[in-house]
Formats: sequence, structure tokens, C-alpha cells
Amino acid sequence: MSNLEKYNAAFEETLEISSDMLPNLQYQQIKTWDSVGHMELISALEDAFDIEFETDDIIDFSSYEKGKEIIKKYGVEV
Amino acid sequence: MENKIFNLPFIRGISAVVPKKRVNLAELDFDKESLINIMKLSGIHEVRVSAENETVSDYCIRAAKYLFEELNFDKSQIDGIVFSTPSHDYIQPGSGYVVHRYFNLSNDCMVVDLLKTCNGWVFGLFQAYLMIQSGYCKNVLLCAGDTPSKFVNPKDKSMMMVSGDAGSATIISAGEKNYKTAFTFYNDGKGINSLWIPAGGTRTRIKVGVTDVEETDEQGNVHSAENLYMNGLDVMCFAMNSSKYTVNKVLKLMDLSKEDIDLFLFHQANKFMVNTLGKRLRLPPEKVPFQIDGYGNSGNATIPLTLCAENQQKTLNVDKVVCCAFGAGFDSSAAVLTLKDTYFCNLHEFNF
Repeated sequence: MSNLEKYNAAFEETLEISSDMLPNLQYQQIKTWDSVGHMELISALEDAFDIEFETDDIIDFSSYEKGKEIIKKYGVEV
Repeated sequence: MENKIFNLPFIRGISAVVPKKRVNLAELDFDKESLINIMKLSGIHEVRVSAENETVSDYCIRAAKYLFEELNFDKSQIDGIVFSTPSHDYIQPGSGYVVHRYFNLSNDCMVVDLLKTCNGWVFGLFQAYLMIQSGYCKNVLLCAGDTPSKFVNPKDKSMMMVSGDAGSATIISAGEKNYKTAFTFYNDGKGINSLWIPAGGTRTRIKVGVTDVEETDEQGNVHSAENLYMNGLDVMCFAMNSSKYTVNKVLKLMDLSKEDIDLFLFHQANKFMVNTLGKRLRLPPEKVPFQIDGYGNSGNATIPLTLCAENQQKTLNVDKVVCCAFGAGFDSSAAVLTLKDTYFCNLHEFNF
């Protein structure tokens, strides 16, 4: 699985959405991406890439696109 | 006392009491899918709720009575009270005086009231340890508990799905066994607005038509300035940062490693948080209990409640325990404790 596929899978599985909803998806834009869903998403991404987000990045992780920039800091290119 | 290590006090006994009234969270008036998702993450399916006329001091006093009876401890030996709660019986004085009056304790008995939320038992222990190590007290009764149900808006799903009421009592005594204990702390006043009840103090007095006006937040949770409000994400991030800091620091202070510790007891906010903290600190899951399903998050009572509930189910291995809690402020503390000679009452339920 490529990094992008793993990244997308984390979103799709934890937020229970299809891939066509991903582009430009924002935190709190959909019911499942609330603060509870956010922590589940973060946990899924940490497990998928074996990384540990800094809490500032957890708070700044405000969209699907922003997340790609943030995850680069942890050596993950998506 | 050298290098911030206590060696005189030890924890003689711990007791916890919960209300009899149970609330099945699956029956709350929120959409069913949300309920199922939250319960799956929080690990909490049922909570306990106090009656209208019951306060946290009622539960703590009952917990103290069980402790005195089961330990055959003469209550007149109590020469210090620490009462830790965010929901004192009165605006003033604090609930430590309610306990003092109830047990008719000596005029020489010191009383310390703390306004502390979920960090209150660990911080209250530190206060009790100071009172004993200094030589001012020989036997301190620490009462810690909360009744968040009295402040949570019934239309606030995020709080209704986790909050429970409970009270606890712990006796800390001067001993001769030289048990070493240390505490560490982490505070951040920037977190005030992330976990608070804005109105009712002197900054914002209660005003009908103003402080009781309800608002709906981005998550669909309803609350007024008179209700307990929590920004879950902020609290989670603080808990992750502060726990790592305080636990690692207290282990270093005591010259111990994680492998030396038998049990890591975090404030039992919810299952996801406890599991996340355990994962962040790379702890084996069997050393990180979660016990509040059936009781709810009762703030500073969750750690003593967990110890008493765990005791009912199996023999506790508690030679060396790390306790770590975090709460409103934000504040956080951790402690390394030896509990091998501590008596644990079975968890009791009570209604008046």
C-alpha cells in the first residue's frame, strides 16, 4: 500500500466516508469528524505510519490537505 | 527530606462510594448512532448519578465511615483533613469543615480545602504528605470526589456520556517503614477556558436571562455559562503532553524505570484517553487499568475508585504504583506510591 493509500484509508475507515469526500475535507465539516473522530483519526495515522504527532500538530491538523503538510514533518510523503 | 522524596507518610487505607442510581447511557435522548460511537470510544455504558439532595461531602463522609469501621481506626486520631473537589457544598466555607463537624474532630485538627478537579486526589495526597512530613499531622483524612451531574447540561452529549458522581476517603499516616514517595507537577493557566464553569464565581455572577442562556457549540453540544464546559481536544492534548512530562520526571526523581512499576493509574477520563496515554508512554496494557464503566468519570474520585474496584476483582500487585491525573486549570501531577500495605475497602454504593 502506498503512503497515500494508507493516509486515505485512515480517513475513510475512522470517519466512515468514501474516497470522493476526501479532497478539501475540513475538521468539523462532517458529523463523524468531530473532536472524538479527530482523535481516532490521529491514532489511526500514528499506527499506520508508526509516528507520534506533537500535540500542536494534532490541533493544527484542520483538513485532509493540511494533514498532508503536517505529516511530511514526520518523514511521511503522501 | 532529601531531593523532594517523602519518607514518613504512608497510605493506610482507601475507600470509595458511588450513588445507587444508575443511568444507562444507551437510553439518553441523543441519536443512537452517536451514542454507540461514543460508548465504543469512551468505554462507558452506565454512570452513577447523585440525588438532588446529596453532595460530594455525603459520599466522602460515608466512604470515611466505611474506612474507619473496616480498619478499626479511631477517628479521633485524625488531626488533618484535606477536602479536594470542584463542587464544595457551599461557596464558603469549604467542605472540609462539613467533615470536621460531622465527625466532631478536635479543634487542633487542621483543615485544608482544595478546589481541584480531576487532579485533586493526587494533589490532595501531596498536600497530606506535606502535612505529615512536616510533623504537623500524624493522620490525615483526604476526601476527594465530585458531582459533575449537578453542573452538566442534559443536552450536552459530550459531558452527559462520561460524567458520573462519586466520593472517596483516604487515610494517610505517619509511619516507620520509610516508604519513598515523590510527586511532580505541570500547570498551564492558558487552559482555563477549556474546562470550566464560567458563571457562579465573582468574575461572572449568576444572572437570570444572562448566565442561563444556552448556546450550541460546533459539536452540537448545548450549554450555558452555568454549565460545565469542556473542549475535548484541548483537554486530550494537555493530558498527553503533561502526563508524559510528569510521569517521566517522577520516575527520574525516584531513580526508577517504567519496568520497576507494577501499575500505572491514570485519571480515568475515558477508555480512549487512558489507552492513548498508555500507548504514548509505551506501557504494557496489562499495567494500565480502566475501571470506570458502570460508574463514569467522577473527577478526582476516579483513581481511588479504580483501586477499590480493582481490589474487588483480583489481588492487586501494588508494590510500586504511578498515579497520574490532569484536570481544570490546566493542572497535572504524578506520584510514585507504595501501596503494598494499604487497605482497600470494597467499592460501596449508597443513597441517603
